[in-house]
Amino acid sequence: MKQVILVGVAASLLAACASVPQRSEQLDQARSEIDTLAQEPLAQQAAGRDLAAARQSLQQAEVAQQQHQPPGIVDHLAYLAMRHAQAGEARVSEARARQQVARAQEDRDKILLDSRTREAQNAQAQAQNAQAQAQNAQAQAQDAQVQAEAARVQAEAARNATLAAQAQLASTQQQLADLQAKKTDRGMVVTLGDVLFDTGQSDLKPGADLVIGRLAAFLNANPQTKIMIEGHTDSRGSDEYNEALSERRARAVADALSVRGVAQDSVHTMGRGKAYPVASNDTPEGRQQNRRVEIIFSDPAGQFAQVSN
Amino acid sequence: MSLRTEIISAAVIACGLAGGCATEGPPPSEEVTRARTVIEQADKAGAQRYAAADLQRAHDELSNAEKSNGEGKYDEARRYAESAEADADVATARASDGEAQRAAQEVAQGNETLRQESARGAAANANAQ
Repeated sequence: MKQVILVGVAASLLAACASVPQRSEQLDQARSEIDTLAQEPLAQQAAGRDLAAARQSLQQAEVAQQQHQPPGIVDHLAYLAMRHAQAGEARVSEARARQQVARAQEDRDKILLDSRTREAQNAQAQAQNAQAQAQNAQAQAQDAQVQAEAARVQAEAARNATLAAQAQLASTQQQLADLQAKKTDRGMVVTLGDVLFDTGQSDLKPGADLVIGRLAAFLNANPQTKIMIEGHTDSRGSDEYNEALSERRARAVADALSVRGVAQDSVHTMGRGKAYPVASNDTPEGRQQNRRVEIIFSDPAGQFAQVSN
Repeated sequence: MSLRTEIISAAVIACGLAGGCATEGPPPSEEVTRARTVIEQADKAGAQRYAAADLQRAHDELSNAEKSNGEGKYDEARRYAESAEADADVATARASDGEAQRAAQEVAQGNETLRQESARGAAANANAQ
């Protein structure tokens, strides 16, 4: 009887503890956290101890549940398992962050290196650019110098040419003035008066040497210039006589010039006779003016003025 | 052996079999000390900033352990101390994680700034040429 009572009391007390194990939410949560941690690639490396501790606590919780220990005990052990797993997850997260920091520092080094490389390249390009610009500027300066020199030479030449032309013109004008040349429609004309010839003669008197010499000097200095030598007479005597005489006198002047070196093709001669008087033949003075030799000058290019007689 | 005595004996045996009603162990002074140490670590790691709730929970559990200890409920006190230590460890780990995340973010932002400056520098150079 006593035994029966003892067993009965013990069984009833046991039954209170040995009801079907209640499902523990805390245990489910712990398992879930441990699964999450275990799936992390870094779990063993960064949180090996946490994972081991969590699994140990979980196992203790499961044993406690199987042994029908009070839910408080099971939940407590499951809670410890969950917290170990959560600590492990935080350590895995920390390890990932540290890896990110390490990668970011590598990135930083690479950015700095790229930046400095590009700066160096830019500086080099700028230096080359500046050098090219300097060379360009130097070349332009040299060009400008050459152009300035050429312009100076041209200006000098032009000035010299102007001076020479002015000198030539002045010289020519002076020489013609010395010959007492007159400007007429037919061009510049020098008149050699009757005094250079004896009456009825065609030989030049010695007094003609000065004017012939000046003429020769002028023509030799201006080889382009041509002259026409015209002989004129007064109205005494026949036309044939006068024309022949005027022709001979013109030729005498031409010969005298030839002797002084004037080219023959620069000189033309013509006897005009009494046809072109410049004064009255009724007085001795008028007739003396009509007995003359006129020398007509071409322009410097050798062209005579075109005049209808 | 009286019936009363036998009933008590049966209850003790049953409790011993069930485990849940195990006899009280010694005071958990070691567990409480460990919990305090880990809570200090959590404080130093900056848990107040990154894991305030976990830290608070650890403090509360430690207080509960001390209270239970004072009441002679040593097993309860031990469980509280164990929880306090686990909570403080979570707080420590989360604080370190928070610091590491912040560092990663700062470095990433620094790199972004550097990239932008570098790009601006490159653009400025390109314009200058």
